[in-house]
Amino acid sequence: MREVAIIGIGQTKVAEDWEHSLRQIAGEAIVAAMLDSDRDRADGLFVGNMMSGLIGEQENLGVLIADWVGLPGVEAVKVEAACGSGAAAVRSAIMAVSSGALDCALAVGVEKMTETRGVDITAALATAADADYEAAQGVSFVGLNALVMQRYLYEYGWKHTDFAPFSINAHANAMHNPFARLHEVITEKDYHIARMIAHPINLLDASPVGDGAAALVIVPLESASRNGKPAIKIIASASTTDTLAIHDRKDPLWLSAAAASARKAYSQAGVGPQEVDFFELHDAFSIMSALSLEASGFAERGQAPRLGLEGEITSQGRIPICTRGGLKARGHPVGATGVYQLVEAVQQLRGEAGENQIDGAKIGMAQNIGGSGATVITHILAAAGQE
Amino acid sequence: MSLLERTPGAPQAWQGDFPVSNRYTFGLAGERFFRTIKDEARILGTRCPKCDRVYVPATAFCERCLSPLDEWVEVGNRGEVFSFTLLYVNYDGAPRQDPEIVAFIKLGDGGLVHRLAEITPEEVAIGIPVEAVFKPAAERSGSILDIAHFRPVKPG
Repeated sequence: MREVAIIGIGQTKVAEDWEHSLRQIAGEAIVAAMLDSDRDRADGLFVGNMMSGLIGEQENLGVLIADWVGLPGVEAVKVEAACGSGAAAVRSAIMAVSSGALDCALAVGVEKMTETRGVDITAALATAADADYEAAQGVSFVGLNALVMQRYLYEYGWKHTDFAPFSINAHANAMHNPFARLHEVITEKDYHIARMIAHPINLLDASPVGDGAAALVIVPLESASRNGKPAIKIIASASTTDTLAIHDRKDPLWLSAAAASARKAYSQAGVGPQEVDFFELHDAFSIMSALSLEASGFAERGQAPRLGLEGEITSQGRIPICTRGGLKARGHPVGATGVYQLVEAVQQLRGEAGENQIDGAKIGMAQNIGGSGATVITHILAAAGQE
Repeated sequence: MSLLERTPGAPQAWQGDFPVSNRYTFGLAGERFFRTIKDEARILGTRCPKCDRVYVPATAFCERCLSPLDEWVEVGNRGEVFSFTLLYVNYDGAPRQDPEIVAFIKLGDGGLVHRLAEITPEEVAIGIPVEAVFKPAAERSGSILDIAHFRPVKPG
């Protein structure tokens, strides 16, 4: 297996973008990533996307986008794993390059979500749950996460407001990310009075959907140019699954797939959570931040809210999370999210994160989740020369 | 989805409703689980003797030791609220004045996510006993919605 590196990144602003089609924003992210790299061609394209067929009546995105961006003849496929589609596409690109099958692969995550009615988006998102047992109830993902959060509060005795720091931190960081959907500082009071969606989840616990695309150029490390921008090494890529329905879980408060995915990633990278300088986690809902931090070894079970309350998740803290806004404030264009996380991790490791820069960031981790903790994909990246 | 029955001789049947010769299947265990709900208004689980666990909804294999499961057990129509949520927004995004109540109800070693009714939001709590209320037999179609909702168990 060859070592692989990311040599180009590109992204569009997460937005309610009625001016551009799915292929246009995917193309914009790809062109930006190619220009950022020193390549002008790729020999494979992996598209992360969840719902183009359901709401855009367009499938076969691999060739659609390859054709649009001018990569005739390349291998091109769509990879789907619900909200984990983005990182799943990146992992496919990594496996293709690492195995020697391809020498330069593009991974693009893209989603268009704002051009249809909210009810259609909710129904499309609900297809990520178990259709026969869960989705038939008309319970959306908000509802399923609310069930988990309610039980968490009950088991560990936290108050709902103890989760406020997760959302406040994400919004504060997004202020310095021009590609973020929400540029709005929020306070604990805002969090406290936010409109209730599915008790105990309120509007400020939940991430906004949006239109967006993000792309990476992935090559063998040995062929990464020594000129230009520093190559960022991918030192771990691990994908795992849990049961799809939460009623089948041994313990609904423990993301066993996230724990397994992080454990595999740490073992591949030869690092532990103490060496990770920042963590782009999947904060679709604030409860997910807590469960991801615990499953990935940054907090004891039931104790993750303490990290927030003690300021350890901010850029100056022990384990900065959502450094450029996270799903909560950068936005959550579902199939693109996993690629945004990695684009942001590369920015941190190159020292290109501006006001959000984590001092001396050498090792960064990103974790993308599909379904309620059902598919979990963890990547660990390192600046050149770091292990 | 719900169960659809086979229509014998379907290819020749052209009058009336369009014939459906295939049927939706939930898989080995799901087929019996949903059919028993539809025909008998009973909730079944499957037990793994090795792991001593009762899977609800029923599964064909134990997900821990992978043994095939053929010990069917009736888990009754009662369970307890493991967690709950009050939905203030409808599926279509419209706000609701009175929240809909959804709970994760423990049955056997598994459970179901379903609606709670005949109870006020103030009365819902983790741990309360609840029971399934089935739709009338004629309205049941072999779907999880054949259980209309769960309601609190009346004392006594």
